[in-house]
Amino acid sequence: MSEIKKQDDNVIMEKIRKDLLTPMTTFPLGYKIWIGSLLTLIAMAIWAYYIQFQEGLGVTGMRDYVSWGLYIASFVFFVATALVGMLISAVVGLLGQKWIIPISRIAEMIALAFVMMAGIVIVVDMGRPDRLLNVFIYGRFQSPIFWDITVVNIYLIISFLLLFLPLLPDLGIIRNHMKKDLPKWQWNLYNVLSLGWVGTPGQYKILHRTIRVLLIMIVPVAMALHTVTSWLSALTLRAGWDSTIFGPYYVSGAFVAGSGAVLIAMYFLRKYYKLEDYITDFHFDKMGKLMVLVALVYLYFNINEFLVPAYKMKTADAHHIHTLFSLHGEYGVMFWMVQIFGLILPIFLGFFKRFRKPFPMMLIGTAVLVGAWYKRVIIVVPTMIHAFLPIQNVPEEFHHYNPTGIEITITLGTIAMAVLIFSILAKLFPVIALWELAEEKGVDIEKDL
Amino acid sequence: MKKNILNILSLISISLLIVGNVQAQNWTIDPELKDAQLKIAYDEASIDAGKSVYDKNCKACHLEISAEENNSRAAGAAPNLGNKEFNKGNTDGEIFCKLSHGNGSSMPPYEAMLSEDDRWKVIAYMRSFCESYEGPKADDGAAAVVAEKFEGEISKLDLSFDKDSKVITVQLEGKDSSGNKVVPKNVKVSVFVKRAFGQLPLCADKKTDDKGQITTELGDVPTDTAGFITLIASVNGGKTTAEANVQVNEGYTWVNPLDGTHLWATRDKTPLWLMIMYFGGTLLVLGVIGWSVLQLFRIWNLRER
Ligand code: HEC
Repeated sequence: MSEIKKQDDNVIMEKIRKDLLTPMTTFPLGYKIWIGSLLTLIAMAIWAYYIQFQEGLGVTGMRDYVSWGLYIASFVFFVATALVGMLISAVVGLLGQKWIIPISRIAEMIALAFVMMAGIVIVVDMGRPDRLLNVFIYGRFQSPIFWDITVVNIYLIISFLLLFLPLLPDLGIIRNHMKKDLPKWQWNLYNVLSLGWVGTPGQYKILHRTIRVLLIMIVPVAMALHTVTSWLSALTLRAGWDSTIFGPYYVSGAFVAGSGAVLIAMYFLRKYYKLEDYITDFHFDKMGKLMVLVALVYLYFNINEFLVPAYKMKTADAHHIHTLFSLHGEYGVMFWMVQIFGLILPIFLGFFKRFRKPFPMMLIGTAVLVGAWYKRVIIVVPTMIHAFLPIQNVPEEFHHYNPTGIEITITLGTIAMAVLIFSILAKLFPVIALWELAEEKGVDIEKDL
Repeated sequence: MKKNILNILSLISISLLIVGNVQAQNWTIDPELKDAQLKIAYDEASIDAGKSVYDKNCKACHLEISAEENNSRAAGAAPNLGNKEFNKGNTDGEIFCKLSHGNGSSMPPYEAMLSEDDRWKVIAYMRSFCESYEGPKADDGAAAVVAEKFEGEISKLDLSFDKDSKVITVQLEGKDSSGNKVVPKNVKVSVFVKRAFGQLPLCADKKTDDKGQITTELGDVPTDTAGFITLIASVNGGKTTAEANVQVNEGYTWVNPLDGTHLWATRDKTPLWLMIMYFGGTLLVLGVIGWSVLQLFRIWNLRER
């Protein structure tokens, strides 16, 4: 290699290191306030959960008929958003799309944070969390919940590996270059975690192959994860759930939610970590197009999901459809808000290049993500109100679902927790893979270590 | 000019709509039937038969009939056909036409659904709520023989069941107003089997014979696991009732329908193929995960020592 090329490489790497590693060492006031407010929310949620644990689920708005409320809606939401790890790195990445390089780690971090909370929020939904073990002791293979618990945990492990493995070369770089800049414990942590990475061709070969195998593996696992989640409801004979397309309906919806989350994370990381050179308008443009694509698929499934029963109007379905479609229905306003602001408008705006810029994309992503959460409420709750057997001889409150303050606090707490995990991950580790950037730019970083 | 045409057009369409509506609401009375009288004998048998026609076809909309001065139901709702104003204001023939042709909207036509005979019977039933109504006399010109009605009071109601012949016997005893024992003849008795929800009718409004009893057969009714069912006899529309828990057979062992093999949901045993799928899939993925962890060790082994 020529001297000039080597010097060039050094300059490039110097800049990459400076740009990507500096945010790890600074703790601006904004970040502290951000973490502080998340912690406050979580503390309130823990206090609320303590009450729920003491008193039982009676403190929530859930009753005999609506026995799945905000918690299960959040569970589905978390699982959905977590699927973005698979979408970005595996589906788009394996297709050879290079533009995802600066985004894929962000997606993996979101995936890990959200799938962790998916597992936790199920336990929160249990009046007697100590009975969780019963799923394993008395679990039945015929029951989707058994498969769900299995596959949530497997997805968690693979997501962790897919975050950790591509971190190794970066951890090696941090270990070699940042000894002076980091507290001793933190450097020791990276030192251990880097597993003695030195970047020999042998190590790279193993790394590339393992990542590739895991990327292939995570596709069916992620599909299974969200399909089984949809079967939790679709395998029951209830109006609004009794649908053959629930699996793909959930999976496509998950991609929409995940794209929204990635767009938001991209915007704020770029802004506060000053990554304008790495996450460019080009990436927002691409991500915006991806979002429109998956949202169109989801819209297509939505039309199928609602038009078919709405055309036939079987008795129970008819009640359900009226609740959603009529603005006088209990969930009519929510339904149309979600469909318009969370799906139709984002698709429409996403068609225009003018809106596929960072700031508008962040706003659209927020609308999509918030809409995704409400959509899960709409999928879970109205069905439970429309039982096939008439609901009779029960107190008036059993006919409706009004989440209580405690329930809302806990739900907000779980969301804050997911965001907190992401924020900490994004502070502890570089949010973009340095080595992949280098590889992309043709820099030979083996020597650099 | 254009505006005018539009106005005229809308006026025409509105008036067409109104006319159409009015027509749809009309009852058609066939002139030759206008003054017709009941074409069957007005007697107990016709009235009873009419009640069963009514219960099956009309009650869903017209609800329970009761005698009252005028229709107290909400406008547009199916009226109470027992009200005096309606009964006095319509000849038998008019009522016959109304229920034969319907009114084109809310009241369906029964021409094709009920035989002529049934339609007259249901009219007889409506008329029975109107005391002043005088039905056509029987052929011989004498007033129709109305079966002698039991006027006393039911003092005892016995419900018995014979296991071998599967015959249920309901025996009534009665007193007249001065306390003397009389045999309650011609009293309507219904028998039901008690269910978790509602009751299963075995016979409805059967009349007691000269001995004051009725019998009816128990068909193939499922029992509880010990072989018992609960019978209910009800007299005079539920004013007096009796209940009896009787043994029908030796009982049976209940087979839970879920116990069979149902592709997915066998109760006791997991289908083998489902287990193979679960363990196969899980082990495969865990194997890949284990292999990946192994690769981490290999990377660690390649470090600079
Ligand atoms: C689908 C519901 C429905 C059923 C079933 C029904 N009706 Fe009616 N019926 C109505 C309604 C509603 C009206 C009142 C129509 C009006 O006033 O315009 C009515 C009116 C009538 C009238 C005229 C009352 C009057 O004031 O002139 C007669 C007679 C009558 N029904 C008889 C019957 C009989 C007999 C049957 C059963 C064989 C029957 N209906 C079944 C709904 C029903």
